[in-house]
Amino acid sequence: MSGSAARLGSRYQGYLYIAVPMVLVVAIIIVPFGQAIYYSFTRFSAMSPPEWVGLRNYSKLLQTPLFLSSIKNNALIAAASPVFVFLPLVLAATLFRYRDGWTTTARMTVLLPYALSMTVVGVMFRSFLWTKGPVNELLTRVGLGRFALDWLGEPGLGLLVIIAVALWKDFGWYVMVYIAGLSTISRDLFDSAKVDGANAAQQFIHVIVPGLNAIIVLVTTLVLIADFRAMFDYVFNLTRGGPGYATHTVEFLLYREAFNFFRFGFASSLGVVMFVIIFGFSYFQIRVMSRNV
Amino acid sequence: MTARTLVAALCLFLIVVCTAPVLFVVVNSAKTSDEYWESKFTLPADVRNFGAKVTKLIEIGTMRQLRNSVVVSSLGITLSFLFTSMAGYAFSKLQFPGRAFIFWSIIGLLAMPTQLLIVPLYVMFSRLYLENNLLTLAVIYATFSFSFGTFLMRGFYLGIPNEIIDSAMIDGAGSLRVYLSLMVPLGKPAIITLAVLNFFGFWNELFVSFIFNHSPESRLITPGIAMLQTSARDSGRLTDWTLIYAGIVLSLLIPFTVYFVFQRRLATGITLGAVKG
Repeated sequence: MSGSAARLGSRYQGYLYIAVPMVLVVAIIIVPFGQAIYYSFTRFSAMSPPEWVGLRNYSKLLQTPLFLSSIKNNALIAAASPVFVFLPLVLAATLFRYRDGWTTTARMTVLLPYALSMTVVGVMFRSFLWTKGPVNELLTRVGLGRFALDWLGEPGLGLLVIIAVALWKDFGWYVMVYIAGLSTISRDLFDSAKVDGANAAQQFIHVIVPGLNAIIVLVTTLVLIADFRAMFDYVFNLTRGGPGYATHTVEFLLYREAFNFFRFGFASSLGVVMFVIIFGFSYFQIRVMSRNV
Repeated sequence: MTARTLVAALCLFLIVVCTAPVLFVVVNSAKTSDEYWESKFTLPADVRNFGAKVTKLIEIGTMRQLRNSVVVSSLGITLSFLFTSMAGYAFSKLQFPGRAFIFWSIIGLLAMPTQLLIVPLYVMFSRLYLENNLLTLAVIYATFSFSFGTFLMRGFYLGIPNEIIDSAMIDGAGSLRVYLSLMVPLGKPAIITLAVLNFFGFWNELFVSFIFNHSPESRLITPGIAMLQTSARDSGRLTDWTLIYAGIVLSLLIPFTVYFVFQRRLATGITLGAVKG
């Protein structure tokens, strides 16, 4: 597929162009990866050097209720993935189908949350949602005072709030991903569907969903990967893992173990578990990506 | 009600949902704390109150954090440009043994969660006294984004016909000459797109920068905002949210500028990043 300019320079010149980043990749990604796996089999803290303990960290992991509840929280967040995948798809199809001043403005606006960091978003929504925040004040003012809840302090609500806030930040990005994909579907398909008398819903099911199949799979994997590795910023800024341990996720637990309690060995075993979970999704992502190369 | 009216209503809803939280923060950042507690839904009495908060934020170190973030982001973007444009060129236009294997190994690293690497990296860098260092962080960022950047640049360069390179070679150009006088200028759209994506990635990063740059001198703005809640609480009985809002507003000035100037690029980046991979 790439009939490369083979005669360009000697056979080994290519290495010169990748030498520096490859050294860094080895030093900053590959070696630490090996070390992390090694650490996960050791007792290792800020005070004491690594000491081999075999599988003890892993068996401790399975006996730690906090680990099990943390991974359950990641799984519960992942259970909301269909919303992250299909709500933007429906919105994109709508914005793509109708073109006027409204949809153009909406397209320009939905990406705005992307410019904000998860941290800024987390802090903002914490200020909105705590008991004396503007959300509850507004609810009370319009006579819905009984819905003025302790959004971040109720064990059942915290996780839902994290999901909702993540959705607020990410949906526009996925809308734009789908719109980019929609513009690659041939106009003829839409036209012939129209000729056949397909309404918007039928077009959605028979033209858009099959046409965007690869992108839907890609978005699904991206959402799942984020669910298991990109929740730290929200947890840290919205709930600090609380109330109690109700909104701990695995990456938040790893952070606490490593940098609050300095249990580096145990934290590394958590990292290995995360890697194993994410690797499956990422393998899928890379396969989808490479199909389009 | 026609479909168009419904769509317009939906659009209005989306616009309000996306902008209202930001507007609320901007408006309330110019209130005094007392004003905010009295009413959150009115306009500020005196916009000059914002200035008083900036003074306070300078004391806390927000300006230094902003400067540090500018330094780390620019360095990281520059390094990433050098690494990925060269690698993209090598993987698309140069032949060398093991090319496909090395390329797909690099892409495989996309699966690596930062959280797994953070403990060994921290242990290593703190032993070498390289924590709290802006250059270290920029190098880490550029390395972490190397896989995606290489993928993007290679994909773009594959679309450049080899004939252009061949004719340059007939004129006697070597591989470095081809890189500098053809690949860099022709690659500009992808290079700028990657720079914009990297800017948001680096500027908004929390986990690594929070752990690595923990001294007040080297702290970045995103961890700085995360820690504002503590500083704002120390200054009184109740959290001074207006101070936090003012910090957020300052932290958003540069990202919003980049967002509005490069909005087109961002959309292209999404196409390149998602549709092509």
